[in-house]
Amino acid sequence: MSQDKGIFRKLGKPLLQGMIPPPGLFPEKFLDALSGLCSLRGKVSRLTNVERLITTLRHREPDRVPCCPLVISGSRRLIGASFPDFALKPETTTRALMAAFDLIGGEVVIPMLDLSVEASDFGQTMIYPENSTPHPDYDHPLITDHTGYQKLKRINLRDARRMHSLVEVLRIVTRQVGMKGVVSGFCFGPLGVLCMMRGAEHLFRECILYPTEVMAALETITGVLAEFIEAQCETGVAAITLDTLFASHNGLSKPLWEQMEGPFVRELSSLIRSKGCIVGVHNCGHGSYFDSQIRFMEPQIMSFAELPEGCNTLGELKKRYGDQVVLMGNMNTSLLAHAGPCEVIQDAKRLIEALADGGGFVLAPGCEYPPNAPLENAFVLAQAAKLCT
Amino acid sequence: MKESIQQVIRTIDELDIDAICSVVQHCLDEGISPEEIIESGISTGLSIVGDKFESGQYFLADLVMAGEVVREAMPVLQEKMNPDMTAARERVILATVQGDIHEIGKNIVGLILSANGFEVIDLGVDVSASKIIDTARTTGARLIGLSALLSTMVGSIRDVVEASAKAGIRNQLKIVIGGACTSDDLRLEMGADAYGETAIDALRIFKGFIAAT
Repeated sequence: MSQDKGIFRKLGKPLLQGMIPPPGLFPEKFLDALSGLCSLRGKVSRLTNVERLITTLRHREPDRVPCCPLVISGSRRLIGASFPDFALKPETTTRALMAAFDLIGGEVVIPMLDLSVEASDFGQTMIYPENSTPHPDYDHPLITDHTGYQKLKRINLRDARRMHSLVEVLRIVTRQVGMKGVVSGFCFGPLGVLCMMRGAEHLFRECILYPTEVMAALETITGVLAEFIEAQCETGVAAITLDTLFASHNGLSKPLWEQMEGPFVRELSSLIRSKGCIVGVHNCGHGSYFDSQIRFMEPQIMSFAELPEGCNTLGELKKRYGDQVVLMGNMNTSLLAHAGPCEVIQDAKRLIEALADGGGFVLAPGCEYPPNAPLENAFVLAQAAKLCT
Repeated sequence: MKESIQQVIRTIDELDIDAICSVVQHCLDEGISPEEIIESGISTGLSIVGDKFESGQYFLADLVMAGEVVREAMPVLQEKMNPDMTAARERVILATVQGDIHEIGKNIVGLILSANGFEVIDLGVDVSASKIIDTARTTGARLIGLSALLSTMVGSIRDVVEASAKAGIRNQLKIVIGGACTSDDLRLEMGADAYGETAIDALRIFKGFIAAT
């Protein structure tokens, strides 16, 4: 009984604040019944954003596909902010992301800063260009040779300025989005974080030559990421997205990825689930190992840019994985940057026809909306979700 | 094919960085020329690794590792190489275009071209069109490989093409593009000469240009 009271408290408090409670705390049967009702209602009337997402996540057909335009640092242009301001000033980041959510639309918001947040807090020297995404100073990597992996020191989250900034952004965005959409936190996988402190070529080579040393660093990083994820969950986000780029042909072989990063992301995804949040995975690599990533992280959502290993068409992908995970993405970012609105709508139509049948699909770019591209196509993408279903 | 050359091929295919120097040295001790070791052994080994990468048996990390294996062997070979042969090598300029700082793909292309006898002039990342064209003029390089990962920076490819036309050397150059955001459609749009999806494609394309001249 006291356990039930605890759950009701956990569900009730966010609801009273106008926020979505952690979805994992709801009984499965309740979510099934709710999504069934929404799916039925969606045939005759318009669903709310959250209803649409619940229906999609339970693999039932909503009134139309939901959309996640993934306008992240590109949103800075809506408020006239620079890249460094977007990356370093939580108040600016929040204003920009909320401007994108309010103006462009979509049901899913994934606030993030850039892929170097965690690495910079570990002490990696950063470059903050005025007109491009912040990145590590590759001439001065934090880890300079294979002996550096074991010397990597665990950091205290309290002193992690950039990770703190993202948590702060999530706290505000979650409240401002409220019941109008679903907010997901974001965490680069431990191998990705390490890559930012060593450089991809060296890291790849050393995963093969010095796996024990590399894994020591991954363990240190994972400890910090676990605290980072807990802090994100406490902001009230409904989901956390883990980025496991190197589980693809653009990274390590499947057995090597399973050996190096698999156990660590399993730990992180279990933590996310234990907090009642949805596990999302983003991988924009070619030939991503959906099977391994699903086995290690048991995600509910897979965001992808390219067809995964073993699938030659979207139809094959839907058939093989469509009942295991919600598929999100695949719109070519190059197309979004350079094509006209008609081509974007045509591509959205192609994706919806191939993937939306029976629910379980979120229309989205395969990766972050190109930060310097005109934003017109982001508006078109959000409208295409309404037009093409 | 001699057993020692086959051993070079196997060593590269197996990504055995510890064995490559002794295997190459064994070839040299047998009187095989460095040029033959590169052409019959190293190139063939890399070609097998490239095929395995393209067919999904090998991964980017393996391609990097194969490059490392070859890099390890090169000093042993260069020590014994005929200086005339070295001087006659075709020059290729490689650069990641202005505004983009991704370099892993470019570096792999560089390693594979080097191992196949090209003289690679690697200008690094975030390179301006004027620097690329100035380098082409001063070095006499006829081949240029441009890498771009960020879709918003592809305009920099056009800048290079236009800068070469402005400098009056467009007809003397072959400009090849590659990288995550590039495609054959983009090549047409930007006015480049060829698009390569992989490092092995790049090698085929550059060899094709040389054969055609």
